[in-house]
Amino acid sequence: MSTMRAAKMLLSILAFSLPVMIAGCSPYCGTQPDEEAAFGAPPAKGCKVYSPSGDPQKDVPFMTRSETQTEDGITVTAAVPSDQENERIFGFNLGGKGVQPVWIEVRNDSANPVTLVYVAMDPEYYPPNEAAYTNHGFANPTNKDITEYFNDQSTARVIPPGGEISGFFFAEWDPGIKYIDVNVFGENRYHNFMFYFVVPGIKLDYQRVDWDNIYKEDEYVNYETEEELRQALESFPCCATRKDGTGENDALNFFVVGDTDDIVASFIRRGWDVTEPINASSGWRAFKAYFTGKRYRTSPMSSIFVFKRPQDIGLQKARSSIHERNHLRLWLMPVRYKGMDVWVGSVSRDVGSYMTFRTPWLSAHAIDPDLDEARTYLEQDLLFSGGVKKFGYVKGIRPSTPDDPHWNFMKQPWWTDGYRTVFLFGDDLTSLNEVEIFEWEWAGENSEEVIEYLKGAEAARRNAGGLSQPSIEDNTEAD
Amino acid sequence: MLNTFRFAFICITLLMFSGCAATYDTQPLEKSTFLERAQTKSQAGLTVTAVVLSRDESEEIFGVDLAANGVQPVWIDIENNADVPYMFMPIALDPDYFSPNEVSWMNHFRFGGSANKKMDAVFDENAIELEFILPGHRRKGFVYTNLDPGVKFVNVTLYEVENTENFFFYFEVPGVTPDNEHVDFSSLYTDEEIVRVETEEELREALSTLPCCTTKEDGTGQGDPINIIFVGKPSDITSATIKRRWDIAEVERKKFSMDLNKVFSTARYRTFPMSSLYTYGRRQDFSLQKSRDKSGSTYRQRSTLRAWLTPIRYKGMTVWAGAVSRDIGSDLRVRKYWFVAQEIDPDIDETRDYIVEDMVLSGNVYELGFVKGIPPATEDDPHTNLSGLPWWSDGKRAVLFFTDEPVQLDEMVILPWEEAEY
Repeated sequence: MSTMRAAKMLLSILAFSLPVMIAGCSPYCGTQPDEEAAFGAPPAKGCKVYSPSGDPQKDVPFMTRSETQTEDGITVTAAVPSDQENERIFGFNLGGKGVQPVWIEVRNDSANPVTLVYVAMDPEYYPPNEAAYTNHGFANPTNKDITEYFNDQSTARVIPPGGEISGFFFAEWDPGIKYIDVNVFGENRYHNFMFYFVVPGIKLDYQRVDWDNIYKEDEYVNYETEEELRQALESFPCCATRKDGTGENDALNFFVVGDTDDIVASFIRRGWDVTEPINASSGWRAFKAYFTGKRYRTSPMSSIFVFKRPQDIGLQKARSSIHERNHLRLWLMPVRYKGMDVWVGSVSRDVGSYMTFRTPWLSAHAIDPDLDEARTYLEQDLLFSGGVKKFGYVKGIRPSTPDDPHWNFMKQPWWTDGYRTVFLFGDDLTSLNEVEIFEWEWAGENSEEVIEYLKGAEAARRNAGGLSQPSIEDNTEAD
Repeated sequence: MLNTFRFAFICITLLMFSGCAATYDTQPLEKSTFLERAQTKSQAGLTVTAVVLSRDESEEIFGVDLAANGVQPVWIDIENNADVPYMFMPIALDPDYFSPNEVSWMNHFRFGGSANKKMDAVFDENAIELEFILPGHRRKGFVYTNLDPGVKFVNVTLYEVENTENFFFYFEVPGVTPDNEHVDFSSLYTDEEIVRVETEEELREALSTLPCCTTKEDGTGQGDPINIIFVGKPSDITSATIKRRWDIAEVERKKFSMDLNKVFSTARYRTFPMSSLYTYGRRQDFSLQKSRDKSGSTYRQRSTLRAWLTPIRYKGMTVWAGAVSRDIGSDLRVRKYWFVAQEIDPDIDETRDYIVEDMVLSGNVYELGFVKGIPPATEDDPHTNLSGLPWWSDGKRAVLFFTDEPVQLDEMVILPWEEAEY
């Protein structure tokens, strides 16, 4: 075996030294990109010049997508350039290296200095030197210029009173939607400014939906009481169907009620990713991901049908590989509750994938047949998102067991206790112990005792005046 | 060569037949000894017991090598003697926890119909049920979490409508030999050598006597700066670092080629051995590292922290001197490790601030201050460490005070010592 080991070592050394021999041999033509060699002008042949955009805000129009928020004398503006824009700003495909620069501007009109808490904004953030280093070539004379440029463009941490900082914060790359929570810390103060940016570059499945024409305005039914809502949701069909509306496919095992922005923001905060529609490029990437097992965070989802149309929005949360992810599909219902949109959803956990001819990219996911497990995961995830104001359960699916399961159109079995979760989203953040409960039914064993206890607890909270009404303390604080 | 061929032949043969002869055997839970390492905590009428399985234990209990797929079962036993039902929330323990069927699917045999069914049942029956636990009831079983090598932080969150209870556990997982196993902390200093201080000013005075930088083994030279100081009980400091997912370093092995394999492999190797730096004439007393959490990243991108116990005791708490730096990639140079050398972020204050933020976010830091002690240097006129890498600094060290009580970020006290970023 020692020969094997020696051979392996030799190979590794060779593999390492080969690019070294190739790189680092071209001549170098100066330390600074001079005026004439500005962006767009090709560098002289055989020369190594690092010529990024000197003035990103002027050269690249990403600031048209910027957003601004103000709180207690602190004003934060943020914007996220796309991968293509980054290539123009920095001269490299940073997305390919897992780096996503976020433009941040902070003005401090308060009396004390404040600090950005980088680790809270992104525990895996890149300091400018590291972000630059990922683009260094071996013994490349421009390395120094690259590092200098990244440092010049990066933001500072501390904002003095009356001062202003601006620059890039090098976050971890996220596909589709970039969520950034700008944490500002100062003496006895701590602010969160949450931004969500749709980053141009990939198409997303919900962008193909013609939202205004799904339903006519008079098709919507509005419910004002919880009891009406409960009945409407309980009587909703159990499962997705074929395109023509027949058959029973995957279970429709949850509902979400609320403003679309609040709903999507809650999912994004918990690390869910948006989904690309099925097309040649996404199909090819999914096919490759199947064979390499690599993560493909926005991989396309097959269409399943409710209301005779495919899902309006697909969301997924990948684990280490494409084979394992949680995914859900949402359809807008022609139902409103107190004026809010109501969606029906189907959530399941992919435990692995296998080859099949039933999808255009020749692979499909094996789902965890214990469907309630995925439902529980979703409940826990959303309860921690801070977006859920109230939740509970309704019935509506025929209960089934491992011995007598349902079968979906992919010929995969699933079983459930028959309950579906209802989430009501609010626009303010709600902490875990402020979440209210729909006093309907409860899933699981001992459900009778649990719902009795929950009703008692809700009654107690109502008596204490804690539910839905601001307490006296809150009022004084507002003053 | 003959051996190699024979080995390959046996492998292929085994592969061909493995499917047909798939048998799946597990050891009954009662026979395993993992419960001997259990930790139990009680509060608010709830009693929680937890154990993190080692690689060998999980293979014994589940009959398959779970660690190979990055799965680490955690045993949880919850007894509810409160007067309301509580629900266990594994998502607070691991936001990417695995479902029983998922773990089973990863380990399925290629053609093992009945064995696979049995496996599904074993993982399912041993999993803890995630439902409300009524008063007077008890639920126990495994949660299948993502693998943490060496040390693991386990947070058991129990929810009821009005209240949430958190139980924090810190586990050393058998199977990884930490590089400071040989350090005998009680014999590092004699009683006369210990400097006992009681007031903040005395402490500040004492800290100014700390060496500026690490040295060579013989005490000469000037290496990386000592730029962070931890004050607190050792258990509070380690809890905070484990909570923020810092990993220990394994003892450096002499089998060089094996390590070289690991260097060139793309797998994330979280407990990669760390090289020795010297202060007080000895190697670091403990080594911690945090590698980038992304597939394909390796030890090449990690932050490292080496710390030495100082002779200073502040109000009975230990004081540790630490050197932190961030490895941003590897470069090929002829150095100690042949041609592979770490490139560090030369802006060493950036790394210091990163660790200050990270520790503060653990919620266990109640005071923070800055002291002088490193000769300042600038980008144009940097210091170099013993590997010849440049670094520069404003010359300040962060001093962090740890407690086991949870501290909100805006409750943290900032000492009026040196002017600094916080």
